[in-house]
Amino acid sequence: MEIKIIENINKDLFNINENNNMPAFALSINGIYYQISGFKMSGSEYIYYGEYSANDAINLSISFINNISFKIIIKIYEICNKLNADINKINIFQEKNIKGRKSFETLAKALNLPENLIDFIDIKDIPLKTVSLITCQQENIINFIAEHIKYNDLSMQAFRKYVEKVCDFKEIIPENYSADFQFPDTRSKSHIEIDEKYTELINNFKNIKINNLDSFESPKLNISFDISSLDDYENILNILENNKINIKLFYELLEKYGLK
Amino acid sequence: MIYIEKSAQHTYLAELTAKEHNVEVIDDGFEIEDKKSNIVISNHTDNFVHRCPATNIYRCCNYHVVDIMQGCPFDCAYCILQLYLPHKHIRVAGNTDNVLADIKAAVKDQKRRIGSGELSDSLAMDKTIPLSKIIVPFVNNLDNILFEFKTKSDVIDNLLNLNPKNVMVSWSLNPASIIEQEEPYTATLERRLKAAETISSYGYNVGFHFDPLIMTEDFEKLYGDLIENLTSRIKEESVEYISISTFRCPSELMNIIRQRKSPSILTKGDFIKGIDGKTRYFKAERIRMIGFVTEKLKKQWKKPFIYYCMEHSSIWEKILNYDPGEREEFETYFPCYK
Repeated sequence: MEIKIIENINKDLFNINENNNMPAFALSINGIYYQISGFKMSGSEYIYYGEYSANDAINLSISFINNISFKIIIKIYEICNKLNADINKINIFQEKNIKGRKSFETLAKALNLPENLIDFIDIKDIPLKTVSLITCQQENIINFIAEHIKYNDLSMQAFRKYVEKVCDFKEIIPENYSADFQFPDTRSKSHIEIDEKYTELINNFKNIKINNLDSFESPKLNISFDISSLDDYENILNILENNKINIKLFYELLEKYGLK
Repeated sequence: MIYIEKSAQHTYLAELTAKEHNVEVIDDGFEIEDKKSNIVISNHTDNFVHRCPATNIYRCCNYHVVDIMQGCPFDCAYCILQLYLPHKHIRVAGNTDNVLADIKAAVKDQKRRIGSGELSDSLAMDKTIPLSKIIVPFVNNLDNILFEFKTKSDVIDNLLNLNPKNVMVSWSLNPASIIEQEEPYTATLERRLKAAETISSYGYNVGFHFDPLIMTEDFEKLYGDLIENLTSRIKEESVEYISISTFRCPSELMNIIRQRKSPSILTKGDFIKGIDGKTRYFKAERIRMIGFVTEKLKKQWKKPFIYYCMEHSSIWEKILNYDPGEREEFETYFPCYK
């Protein structure tokens, strides 16, 4: 390394991290000088690392970044393309388990996502496969999703399910976002009827847990409760006895639909 | 484009193909452009014959498959190959001697139904890669085998000049509107039925797979009309068996379907997670759909064996009043085992 005055230097390509408080480091690739850190510094004096291959230069520049967000990842991918780097030799992709043609196609397309959506993906750590799903959609679908998250703070799971729903019904998504937009209920008549009765049953059983664990692939209901005294036990017995008729009716309903 | 790897260049299949078509010889392992219109004939080293993957807990019929071709020219929205195969182009085993040896070994001690339509369509490429000309004469010299070509094409020309002795041809069927929307590039329903009519007139037994049944608003009208059409055109005596099953898939496939350009009715169903982890329709709906198709078929045809693929024993008992058991027990119900 040496201190070097470099007038003709590319300050833009590696300027992808807003919080870079490092010194002004530089290197060259095929004789062209690039600044790789310390972008807030002015002047033309750099700590020059020497001549590097594109792959090594990218790896070195990434080592100066503390927090590698999704935003940074897509910008790194952009740099790789511009410098014709070998993405298989860029360490951060392996560290983040980003591999395969599909993943890198997603990164390329993600460059064009709305800014708030990229920020959301970062903050909520949205998995790449959900991002892939978004980047494959038409612009109006992507914008619809981007608008929705402005008004709704969804968890990662809820966001994933929301994106899937939007994709399932992409042909009826309106051109302009509306908070009132409702997705159709895809449950069948039988499912709705059983769900309603199931909910009633759960409510009737009060503090006794009653569960079907396999979406009624079997008619098995799992019943559990806690007791701390004989009184508790007697209360439970009362609830169980009082709900005998509801259980009977519920199983008659399951039988009606062939589920028992 | 047809490519032949150097090590497969002098195989019988490669020479047969090169006689009729332009081919390009490439180095072994050379990476061609990965698209469905590219075919590579190469030497494969896998075990070619194995049990159909089936699934846990739901009933399995002990079908066996031979993976002589991997990849398909069609582009059905629900195709599991989108998940299974790491490539879009079609790979064909040029070393058919090894394939045939595996088939022979598989039926050495017991009768088997073996088909070539798991990782590909059995006949879609038969004009270009005439596998039927190699497979049919060979299986006809074996005992203990019923070989099934399963297809969504109408490519039956080669079969018309072959002996149907140990061979059957089956078609996957869906209503015409669903074929158009969800099974692009496949033969239309009309062409499939016409091919079935023709092949059965040449002495082949035929089969039909109502799989996947797809939930739609006008399900009963669409599938009812389909069954009327089928049963009015195909002779009942020529039907070896019929399978019925509703759409089911690993959950990862749903996201693949969501990424396709055209919207699909497949993602709009009433889905739950089955006991085997697969995404399936809510059970009451499966019973309704499978029950409807079974009843409609049985009204027209009394004789053909009807079975359900990858379905719960309770659905068998509900609709057909029996549980076939698992694998070796299940397969004894097929006509060819009687």
